[in-house]
Amino acid sequence: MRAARNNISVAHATAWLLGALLLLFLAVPIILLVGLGASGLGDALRDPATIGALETTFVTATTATLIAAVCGSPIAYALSRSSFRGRSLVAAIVDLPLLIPHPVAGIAILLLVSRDTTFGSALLDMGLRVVGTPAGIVAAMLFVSAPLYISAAREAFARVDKRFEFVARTLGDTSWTAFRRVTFPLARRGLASAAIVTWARAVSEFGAVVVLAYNPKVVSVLSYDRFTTGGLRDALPIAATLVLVSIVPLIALRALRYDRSSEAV
Amino acid sequence: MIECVHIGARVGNFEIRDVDFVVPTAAHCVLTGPTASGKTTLLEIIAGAVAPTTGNVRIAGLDVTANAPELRGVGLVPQHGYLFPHLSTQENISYGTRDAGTVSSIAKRFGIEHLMDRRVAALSGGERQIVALCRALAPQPRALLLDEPFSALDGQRRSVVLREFAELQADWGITVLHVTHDETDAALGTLRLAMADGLVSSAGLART
Repeated sequence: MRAARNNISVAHATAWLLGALLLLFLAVPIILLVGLGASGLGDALRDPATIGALETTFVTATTATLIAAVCGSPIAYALSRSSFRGRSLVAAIVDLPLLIPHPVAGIAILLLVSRDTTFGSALLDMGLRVVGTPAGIVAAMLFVSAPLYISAAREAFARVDKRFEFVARTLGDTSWTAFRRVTFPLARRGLASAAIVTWARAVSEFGAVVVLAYNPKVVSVLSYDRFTTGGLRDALPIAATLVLVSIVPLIALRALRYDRSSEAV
Repeated sequence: MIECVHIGARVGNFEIRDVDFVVPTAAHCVLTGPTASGKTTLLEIIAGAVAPTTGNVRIAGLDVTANAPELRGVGLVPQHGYLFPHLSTQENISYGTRDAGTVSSIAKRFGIEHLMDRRVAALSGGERQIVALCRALAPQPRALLLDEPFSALDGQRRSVVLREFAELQADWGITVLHVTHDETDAALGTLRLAMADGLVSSAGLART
């Protein structure tokens, strides 16, 4: 009996130790990066290159998130509610970008939109250049982050009991008005969380972006650029800036979750 | 009038077979039966949430089997109410109608006018059931489906709600199909159906 209790205590202590080691591994590099980069943060934020990269990052990530939300919400809703022919195929296509290394994702998009392709040349004819432009950055961010939006939005819709929608329809709503008046408002916190996660993923994207558009630089590409040209000392303030930008959505997510738990009945 | 004509349906492993009955216009039919006998599924078929594999649903003489729920003229008070949690009591009751007069008169009739500004999360179980009933009544449906609508009501409030509902149903001539396990509620019915294992097993006059 006593030996068994000792075994349990050892198992608990080991589990705690392993968990603590992983937590330290996750936290310490970030703390070091922000701590060491903080001294150069003021200069970095006065540097036009950093300001330009921050602006580009914010605009492109927000655009990619909006496109993911507008185009992804119907897919997420259909996957959460309907059983239609090809549903598994749609779900697999949505998950596919998550499995591809991001530089490979960039190459795949490049194959679609480069000037040598029919589609790419058609876009050029319409005056839309993708490679080496903010449009390319948006495409890269969208490719890697839209699956996250669809997955989280699908869960948000699935959490809304479909009987609410059905009751709304017995009260005269069409399927669209029931969605607009009931399902969407009830899912909106989950959808906001999905958008925040998508935005955060888009902001931190590097691999696909660097293939499609090294310039104009987003913050992740700028930090890499400074690292390769000036070493760790030059890269640190930019990297610290990127970490601080990434903390904003984390705080927003926490606030949303806190709000939801305080509203729970 | 609510008519089910040889209705059959399958939901998962559960099957409803050859359900065939008529609830005449303005009648109040009570549907009883053990748990998982198919009562709620039958209401969902009539309201349009579940498509039957065979047979037809007719409301007021019209075949509505292929109609969307919003085109059937059938109100529903589901078990557990399903009040819209993001709306106030007032907004819930007026969800299906723009007639503010009807909304306020129904709320007054059922004694919940003092709850109109409250969030539904702040209501008791009994209050929620009354609000769900008022919400279904407000658009003045031709037919009304009730799924254990009074189970959380107790004592004085229950008898007031039952009385007011019976009066309103008679005044408006609503045809009612009412699922219940409670004999007090069942006494509201002028007809009684019993269901077991997906079959309507008996039908007849509950009282004269």
